Amino acid sequence: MKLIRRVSLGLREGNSDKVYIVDLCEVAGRKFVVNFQFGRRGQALKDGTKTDTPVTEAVARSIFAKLVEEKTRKGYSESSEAAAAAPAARPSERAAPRAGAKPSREEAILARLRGDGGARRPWDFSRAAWRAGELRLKAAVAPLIAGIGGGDVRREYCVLWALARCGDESSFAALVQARKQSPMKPDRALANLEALVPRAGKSPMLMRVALEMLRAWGDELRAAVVQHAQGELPPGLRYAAEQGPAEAFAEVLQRSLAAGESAGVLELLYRIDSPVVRPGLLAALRSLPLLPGSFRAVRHIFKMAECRGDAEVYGLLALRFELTPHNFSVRYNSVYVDGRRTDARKEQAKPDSRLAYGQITRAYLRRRGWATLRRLATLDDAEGYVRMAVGMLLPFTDAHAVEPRTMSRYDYSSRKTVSTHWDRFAPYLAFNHILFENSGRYELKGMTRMWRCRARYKPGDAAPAAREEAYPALWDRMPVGLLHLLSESECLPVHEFAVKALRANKAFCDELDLDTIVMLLGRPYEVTAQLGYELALARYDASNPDFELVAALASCPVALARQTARTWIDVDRARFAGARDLIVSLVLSPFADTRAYGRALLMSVVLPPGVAESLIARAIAVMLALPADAPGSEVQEARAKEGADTLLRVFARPLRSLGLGVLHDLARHPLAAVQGFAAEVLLAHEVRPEDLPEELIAALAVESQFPGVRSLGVRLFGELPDEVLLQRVNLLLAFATSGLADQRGAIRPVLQRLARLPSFGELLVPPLLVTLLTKEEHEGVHSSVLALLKTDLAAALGGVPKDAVLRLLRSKHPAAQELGGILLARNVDPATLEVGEVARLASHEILSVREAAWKFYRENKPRLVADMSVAIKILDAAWEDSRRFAFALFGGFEEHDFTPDVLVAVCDSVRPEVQAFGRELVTRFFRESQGHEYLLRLSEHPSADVQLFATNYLATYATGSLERLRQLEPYFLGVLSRVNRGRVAKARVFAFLTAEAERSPEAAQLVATLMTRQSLTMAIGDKAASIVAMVAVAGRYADTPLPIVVKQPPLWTRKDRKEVPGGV
Amino acid sequence: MEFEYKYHGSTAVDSSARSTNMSFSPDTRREPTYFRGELQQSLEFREAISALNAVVVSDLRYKPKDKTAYKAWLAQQEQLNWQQVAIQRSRNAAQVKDLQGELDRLKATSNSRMAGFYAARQKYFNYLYKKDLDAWFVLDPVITVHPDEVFFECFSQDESTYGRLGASYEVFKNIGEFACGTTNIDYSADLYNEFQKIRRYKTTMFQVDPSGFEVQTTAEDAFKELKIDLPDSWVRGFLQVSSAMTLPTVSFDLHPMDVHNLCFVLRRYKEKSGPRSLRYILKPGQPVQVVFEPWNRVVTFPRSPYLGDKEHEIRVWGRRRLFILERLIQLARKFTVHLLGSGLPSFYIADLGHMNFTLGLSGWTANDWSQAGNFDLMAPRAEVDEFTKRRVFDGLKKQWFAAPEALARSLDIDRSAVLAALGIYTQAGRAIYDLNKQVYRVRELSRDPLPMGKLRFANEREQAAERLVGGKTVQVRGADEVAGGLRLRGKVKDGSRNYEPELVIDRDQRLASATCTCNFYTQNKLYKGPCEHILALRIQHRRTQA
Repeated sequence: MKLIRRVSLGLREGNSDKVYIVDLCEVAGRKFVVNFQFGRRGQALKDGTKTDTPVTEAVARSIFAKLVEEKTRKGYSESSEAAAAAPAARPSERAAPRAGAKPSREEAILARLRGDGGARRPWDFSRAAWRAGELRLKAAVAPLIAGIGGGDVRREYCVLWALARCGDESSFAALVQARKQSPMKPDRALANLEALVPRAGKSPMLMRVALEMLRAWGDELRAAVVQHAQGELPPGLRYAAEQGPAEAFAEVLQRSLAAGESAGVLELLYRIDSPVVRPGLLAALRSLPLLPGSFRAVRHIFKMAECRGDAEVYGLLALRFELTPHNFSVRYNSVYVDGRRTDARKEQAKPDSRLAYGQITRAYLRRRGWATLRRLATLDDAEGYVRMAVGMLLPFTDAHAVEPRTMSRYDYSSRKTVSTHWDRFAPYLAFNHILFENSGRYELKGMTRMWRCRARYKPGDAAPAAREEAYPALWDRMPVGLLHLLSESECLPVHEFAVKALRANKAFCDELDLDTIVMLLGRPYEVTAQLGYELALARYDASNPDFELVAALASCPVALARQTARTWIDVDRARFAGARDLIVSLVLSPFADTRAYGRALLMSVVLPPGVAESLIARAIAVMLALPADAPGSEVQEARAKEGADTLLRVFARPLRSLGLGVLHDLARHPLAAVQGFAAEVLLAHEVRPEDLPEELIAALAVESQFPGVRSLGVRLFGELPDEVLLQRVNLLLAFATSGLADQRGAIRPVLQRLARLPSFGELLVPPLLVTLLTKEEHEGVHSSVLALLKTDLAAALGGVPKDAVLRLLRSKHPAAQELGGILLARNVDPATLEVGEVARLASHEILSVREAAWKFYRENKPRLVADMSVAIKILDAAWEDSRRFAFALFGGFEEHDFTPDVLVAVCDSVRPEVQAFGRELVTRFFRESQGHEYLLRLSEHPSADVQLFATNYLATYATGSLERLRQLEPYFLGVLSRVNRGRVAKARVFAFLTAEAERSPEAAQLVATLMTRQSLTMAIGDKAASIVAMVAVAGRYADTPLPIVVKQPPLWTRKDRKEVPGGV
Repeated sequence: MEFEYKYHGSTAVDSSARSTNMSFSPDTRREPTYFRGELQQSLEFREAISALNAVVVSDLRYKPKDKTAYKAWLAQQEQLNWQQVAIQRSRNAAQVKDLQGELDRLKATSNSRMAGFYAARQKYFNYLYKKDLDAWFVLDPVITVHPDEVFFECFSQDESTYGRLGASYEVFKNIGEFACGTTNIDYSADLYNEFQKIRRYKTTMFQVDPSGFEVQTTAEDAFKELKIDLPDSWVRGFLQVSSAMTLPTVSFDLHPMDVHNLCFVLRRYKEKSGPRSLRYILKPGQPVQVVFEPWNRVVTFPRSPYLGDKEHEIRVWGRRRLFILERLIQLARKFTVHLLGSGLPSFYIADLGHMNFTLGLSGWTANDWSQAGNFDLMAPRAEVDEFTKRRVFDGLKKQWFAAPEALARSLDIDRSAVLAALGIYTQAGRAIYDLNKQVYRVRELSRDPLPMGKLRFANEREQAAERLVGGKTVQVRGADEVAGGLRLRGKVKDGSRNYEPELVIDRDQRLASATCTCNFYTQNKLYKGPCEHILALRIQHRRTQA
């Protein structure tokens, strides 16, 4: 069947938009049919025919014309749009008019931009312009330039945006011409920007996009824009941006942002976007807070990145929007700012708005990421789509995974508990769109904006074999993007996706070069390495093995692959032994099995001459390059340790002549095992220890932060010859009293060795004693110094003098006391001790010291007696056992051993039991002749017990002496003034005084004064006693002034019985 | 508030049968102050310094009895009782009884075996307690050397009792070189014991040891460094009491036996309920009378007439603190009492001949908010400009001590301005008023000036109350006697709002209960102390009473 003629008719009426297509076709044998298709535009059309059986040409033509005429009468008209909707069948009839053909998408856009749309409701110009930009239509430049200044700001923005994407070097001249300017050089463009884009001066938004447009139009214009932007930078930043290098600039930028520099400079920097500023800019964008003041710049850069198709910046910011929670959310178009209800729109429109990055903004920006990609995909722009998708996937790492979440609810209709699961990357919108748009596992559902697991899938279940990503066809067309992902991504789902997609592309895989396979093997993801392994298996040529491939295989995460590599090597060990880099990579492999194999291999083969040195050099280079601050530094530590062990075992001899410069670098490496390797090499090095540079030893022994390395360093220091060490006693001391236990432990063998030298002990012991006497700066120093002194330096302790021992004993630090206790027995001759010192030792906290004091007391009675007033201080010892000992000892002494002074001094103690003991001694050894002395002295004692005791002597030794009475006056006052206590003593004193008052007028006077004072008391007994005394005085010496009047009681009779004994 | 001291060695008293050497170790961070002399009136000094010690360790705050052990025993006993009940009911009573007996025997065995351990452990705890005893003292005493006397000052742990022992140079003989100034001295519990060994028949050397300022060469720990974190309330209490001394007082003399009688009543009787005040009844020309509440026991001091010209009745609380004076009764010639008013600080000065002992008591023993509102004591008495203030202080510093009149004459400044300036320095802890000699003395309480802004008010509500009372917006609307004490009602205008606080003061002048209509009270009740309106009403009432 051959199409002879076609008429496409279209009808738009209200919402209705339909087409009607009439075909005249020739069937075999000059017979014709008339068919038609109809239906809604853009949808599948329905077929029909007007001729049930083929008819002659004349009949067919008449039916055809009748049908077209009928449809035209009903309102249909011939149009190109209708033609576009028709199935792509090329009419063979010459009569088909060109105008009736359907124009392509590009043509349609161009047509709209040129203004010849023709439809009743024309397509929005700005949308057409935007579409042109998306498609990067070169042909659209001219109409777009013509469209500048033709509408509102939005339209202008779209036009400039499209021009930025479509234009090239020639566009500038076109623009100049179109704006009727005289020809100008590109470097004048910015000065005349307002002439070229009239609105740019009025709207910052248009200015930004205009600059972006110029920047895209060739190198000269870009240079002009960059220069303009640099001119606007603050001087410090401008200088750093011009001078470089990138690291210096990054630091300057970070500092000036921290110091409050406006985030607007970031826009300028993005306009410059030179290799110098870009790293710093990216770092700033990674850390800049999305807050009022800084967010606006971030948004502008996001838009600029989209315009430029800068996937790196776009992806980075998209990730920030995913991770950063919004700052506010609007309710009823208002929001609380600084405690005030504020209209959100008005506030956000202000140049210094206090609101930025709200809930709506964030949601929009997150959607935008995927929307951009989707549009690229629908435009069938594989390159653009893949580049942007890679840019958006790369910033994600495994660290961005969240905990899988499960929520259960009871479903009443099915009467079952329904669980919803969210997997580890559920919160990231575009990420999931790209990777799982066609997945059977995940779906985006509901209002949560989170990708949830589909019905039966649970986090952790096996992934399906089928591909799940969006637009697989685009990826298949750009498999390089997959390789890019595999080489740089640090995210497991991305690797899983890329490997799956790559496997589907067998032809591409087969063409991969060996370097790429090595790269795949080197990735830390098992899926990726597995793919690399499979590819390597196919590529491996046993007769001409590629060493690099084998090395990569031997250190890849797939155990089977490592096994395979070892098998390959075993086939021809001698051949592989010559491969230096391969051996080094085996020995320093991140995998223990490979390292062990490498060690065994190295020990079993004979290396070709000269290989050893270069192998060591290579291994050390690798070791120095090991990263220390990475998360897996334990792995690195193990690598370095086992590798170093292997080297030390196999190359003991060559390592002895290793250069000191290399060792210096090794000693300063942050990994402990590398430092330890340096120390081990140095310990066996051919350079004698005394010739080693000091800073090398110091780097290991003092500066290293690893205990093991420091110990090795100290050992190395200890290797120095004795005479050198003797000159460095201060350093030895510093190690011995260091706050670090390892240094103290490591120096001990050295000290043990040195202790055998005479004179060494004398040199070291005094400063160590000082350490014990001073406050412990770090825990454990005292105990380790004590241990050192007690055992290793014991021989040298003989010279510690008595004073030092006593000072140790007096110290409040337990270690010093303990050493003092040991030395007291060994170094101190009791004969040289003074009695007072021994008495103090009896109060010592250490029992053995107290016992030593007791021993001294037992054995040196003559000395005690000679110095009795000091010796009795032991009675007041702080420890009960010492006191008990002293009671027993002094209890056995004779009368002539004590003087009254001493006995009273015993009573002077504040301890009741010592006072009692003193009173007992006084009673036992009392001598008449000393009675008054005892009385006078004991009377001054503040304790009530002793005061009572003293009353015993009153009657005997104070009677009749006015002088004593005067001396004892304070004592009487003291006893009588006691409040509510000391009844017996008071009674005795009252009795004594009453009696004394009889003896002389002076005594009576004295008693009267005392009683006058005491009679004021409220205590009835005391008051009565004092009155009795006063009455007695009044009776005897009537002229003594007294506060009482003694009234003679009147004679009483039986009738009038009243009692008035006296009055006060 | 953190105070730092650095002592050169410890204070040491070395007493032998013939002599006693007291060597006080001063704070080496302060400007050198030293003194050396031989004590003549050693017994008086001994008793007085013992009284000072009593102030240092005095802590009469209410300490609830620890009943946890009893409660535990009670719970166990109750269980045993229930077991008994169960035993009586059960058929296996006999068996249970046997088992119970066996259990008791086992427990007894266990106890007898562990007895040694328990005893040793208790001994160890006692040892630890004694070893760290010095940590129980709050602030070491301050010693000041002036051209006419040396004096010690201290403040008790319970933030309520101030002690000052002044010893004029007649107390000493063979006085060596001295440097005037103030310093803290190292003080410990052992020191008190050594003081007790002072006798008249021994020579007693007294020195504030200047050797502390020499550079130490041996490497031993020669310095004892202390950091004491004192509560603000403690410092505030100290300053309140010392600044109260500058206020006009009602004063009279007591015979030593009168103080004896005061102590006697308190020793004999212990009240179980309030009010716990001493009520001094002072009538011109009449003997001083004291009423002991709650028994209303009247004690008359016949030989101590009141010589003032106005009748007073003043109540003071915290009377058990007077026991500190007990040891001084035998030596004192008289006691001079200074009273500021009911619920305000009071002072007792013992005349010991050439020594004097001042006991200053704050209004109450407990320094809590229930009696709070004493910040008036720290209020500036009059306006005086900075320059005059400095001049007055520099003038005083030149002479170390001076009567305000003499100072006014020599500096040619108005007497009231001098008084105002000295009052401000007293409140800042940089000068004190010596009630005994009626002179102001330079005494820098701390090395660095105290933060006065922080100290005057205990909290911002006190400050607000001060503002309210000062703004005359507080009205007392009613003061009715109720069962528990006195109920005050009033209106306080704070800003544009009116609040109506109501409070009940019990017979011990404690805030027994209170309400207010303000937000602070609604939210916190009295858990965080009274609100500013309650405080303001109370102060207003007190002022109208005065």
